[in-house]
Amino acid sequence: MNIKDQYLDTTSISSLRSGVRPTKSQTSFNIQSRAQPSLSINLDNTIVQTIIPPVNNSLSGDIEDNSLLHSHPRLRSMQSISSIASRRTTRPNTSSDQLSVNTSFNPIIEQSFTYCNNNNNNIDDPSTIRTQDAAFGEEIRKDLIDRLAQSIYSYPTSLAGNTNEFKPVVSNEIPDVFINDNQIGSTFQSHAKNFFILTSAGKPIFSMFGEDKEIIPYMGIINTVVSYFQINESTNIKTIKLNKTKQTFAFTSKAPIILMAYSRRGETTNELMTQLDLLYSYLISSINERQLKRLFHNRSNFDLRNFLEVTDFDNLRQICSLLSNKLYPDFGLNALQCFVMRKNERARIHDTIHNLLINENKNIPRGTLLYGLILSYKRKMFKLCAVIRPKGHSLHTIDLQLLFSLITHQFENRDGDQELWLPICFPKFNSNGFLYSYIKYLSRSNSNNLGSSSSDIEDTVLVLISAQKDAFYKLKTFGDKLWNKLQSDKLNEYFIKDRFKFRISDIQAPLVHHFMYKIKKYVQYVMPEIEIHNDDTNKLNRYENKLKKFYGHLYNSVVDDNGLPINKTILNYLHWEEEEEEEVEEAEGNEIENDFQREKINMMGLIWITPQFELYLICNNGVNNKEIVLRSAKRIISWCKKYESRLFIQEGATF
Amino acid sequence: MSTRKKNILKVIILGDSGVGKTSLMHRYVNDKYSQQYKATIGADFLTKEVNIDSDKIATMQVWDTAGQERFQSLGVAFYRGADCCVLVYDVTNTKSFQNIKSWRDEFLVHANVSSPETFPFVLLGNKIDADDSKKVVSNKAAQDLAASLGNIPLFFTSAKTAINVDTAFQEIARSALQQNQNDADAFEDDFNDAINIQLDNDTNSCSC
Repeated sequence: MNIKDQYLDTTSISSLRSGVRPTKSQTSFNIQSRAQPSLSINLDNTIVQTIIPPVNNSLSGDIEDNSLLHSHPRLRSMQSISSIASRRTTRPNTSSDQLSVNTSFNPIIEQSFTYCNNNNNNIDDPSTIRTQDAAFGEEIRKDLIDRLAQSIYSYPTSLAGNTNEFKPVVSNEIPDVFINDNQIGSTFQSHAKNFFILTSAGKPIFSMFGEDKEIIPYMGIINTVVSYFQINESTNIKTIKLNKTKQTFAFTSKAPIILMAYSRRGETTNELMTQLDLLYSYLISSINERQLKRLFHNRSNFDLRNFLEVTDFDNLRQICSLLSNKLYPDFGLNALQCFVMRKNERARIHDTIHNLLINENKNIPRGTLLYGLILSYKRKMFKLCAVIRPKGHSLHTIDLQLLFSLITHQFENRDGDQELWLPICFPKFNSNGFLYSYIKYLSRSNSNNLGSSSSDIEDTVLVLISAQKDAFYKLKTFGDKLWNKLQSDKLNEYFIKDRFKFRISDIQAPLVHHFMYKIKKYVQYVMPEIEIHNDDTNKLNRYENKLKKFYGHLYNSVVDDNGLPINKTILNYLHWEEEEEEEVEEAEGNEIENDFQREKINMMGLIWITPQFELYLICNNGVNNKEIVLRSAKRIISWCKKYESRLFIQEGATF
Repeated sequence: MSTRKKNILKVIILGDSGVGKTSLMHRYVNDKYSQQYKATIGADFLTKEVNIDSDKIATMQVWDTAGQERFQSLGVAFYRGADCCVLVYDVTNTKSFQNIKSWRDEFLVHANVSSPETFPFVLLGNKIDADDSKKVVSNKAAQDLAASLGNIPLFFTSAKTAINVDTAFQEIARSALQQNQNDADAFEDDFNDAINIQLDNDTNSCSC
């Protein structure tokens, strides 16, 4: 028994329809040795659901498609659960031995491979199944099938063999636990979230919502609050929290700029402050810090709004919207997504770039090119296809995100195939000067040939960055040659179409709804494609916001007051459920919902942080078995490990 | 440029407690007057769109500060970056008139303005609706003061009966805009902040 491997036990957040109660989440971090995992399962949903697959299998005579079990990897992988479940019900005290093997978690991934294999062996042993099956009567079985149907939302096909009359409507959605934070009205004050940027004189620069007339008084107040602490306390105010109304205000003062974020969404001060840092970084990327100081030197009444371009305001709005309304892990995880391609394909692209750089030595002398990227752009998200960088140098993800936001704007307003030459300050690289970016659109493809839905359009773009402001033609020539070479070698086919996009159902990780997996050393992450609501922007936004909030809760459950993880290695589960009485109230209050039975909220998530990786995972509604979730988590990790060289850029073309 | 935002003019109103700063502002912004006196705590912020010389539109951000001594520690914050400073005294209160000079000095000390000599001030003698018997500050004394402070504009106003308030604020807006543009013009664009980078030198690298 390895005592030093410990894990944090579930912290349970009991949430109401009207709002989450995060206070409960801090209640207990029970540290336990993994030798005796606590299986605090009640005989309700989880066990019930998980027992279904073997039941189905043994009833093969009644079921039309008895190959279902084997053809459906997810059902198969759920079998292991049943053995736990039956053991729990019959001999709860003796189960720990075997379980400890299964649940032992260790950053070394190979272990979980072994574990998976064991499982598969079990599955192929029909006798086990029959014994388990015997434990349940026919009636219970039917009930269980119904319950399964209701609980496993992500694979409606798993219902194919269900011959029951009752076929519940299933959705692959997850419920919203955080109803409180939707906008109440259309007035300026009713927004659940807002950002303000102003000068140290209290003059407005930007706000996400609100007309001038509405926001200008607030700018004065914000300025006064910040100044009060600077003058009277010689300190900078960080936050104001109103616990009763769950409002948080976060401040950042970087003379001559003051920023404030307001949120009613239960975000922590640290989250808001990092968001403010991105907004400030954007301002700096456009004007740079030295220039900013010069503008305000002896002119504290300077009106920065008229110095910024329309594009700047568009981009600030775009960033605010990403931060508030979209699942935007690039920022939350401080990592980038990579365009999936085979290892040797990417290597060929990188070799081509590298060789061209050497051959073109005369035209593009060393030092001209600082950094290069081939990016894929789809649904407002950028993915790295290839990276050209000097050995030992790389750009900060925030800097790249700022570049992305600029390119996004250009994409939206572009007119044919354009080339751009943009001065941009990368604040995390050097906040006092500009670098120059050559941006060239390489190609556009539509993965859906029938429709012209913009969500299916994939663009590819080349970015070459130099510190020399007269390097445009050198970089242009290099860019053209590179593109010609990639085309003539047919290497462009590797990245113009996303051939390897994966869904959550491609990984044998039962009951998992969505996940994000980050490898720290690459500063890159992967997550499955979002499969629902892709044709409805509003629904998609709502859905992404939901995911975002679940992930936010997960992350906040393991960080300290400074926003840093409380330990180098952490495994934590979070559980969201709703209280019965509230449900009734809600149903009465909403006439439309009276016709339907709303799904009961019973959500579980897992966060796993180690020095090598971070895994964030959200389960389907109704799942509350930690053992299964942990196994699924391990399978995701092994899957990511297996395909690491496809999912992540490991080296890039270095020079 | 059509997308250009309106200029924001920061106007700060200073003067002793009870001279009618808040009343003046409310008369100007909302065209309302309340007989009741309520001391301002810290500062009030009001906004009004102004049309200057019938062709320029700006947004005036009025900072109505508290006259009471105990709020003065925040002065720096309030004064910083003002485009115009309005000094108000009460024509029925000699003390408030005598203090105008110190209010002005206080402002210049903290405001960090680019050139104190040319910074626009406007002097307002408020409460001229009062009985002549109560008036203790003569018009002559006020004109002399305005002249000695660098020929600054002077208006005799009444927030209560709306005498001269709009006229005074028109002048305030004009001075503020003038100041704002002078400062903006003094700036020369300079995008020559290219970074000198040697690739073989590792000092610029970012460890991420």
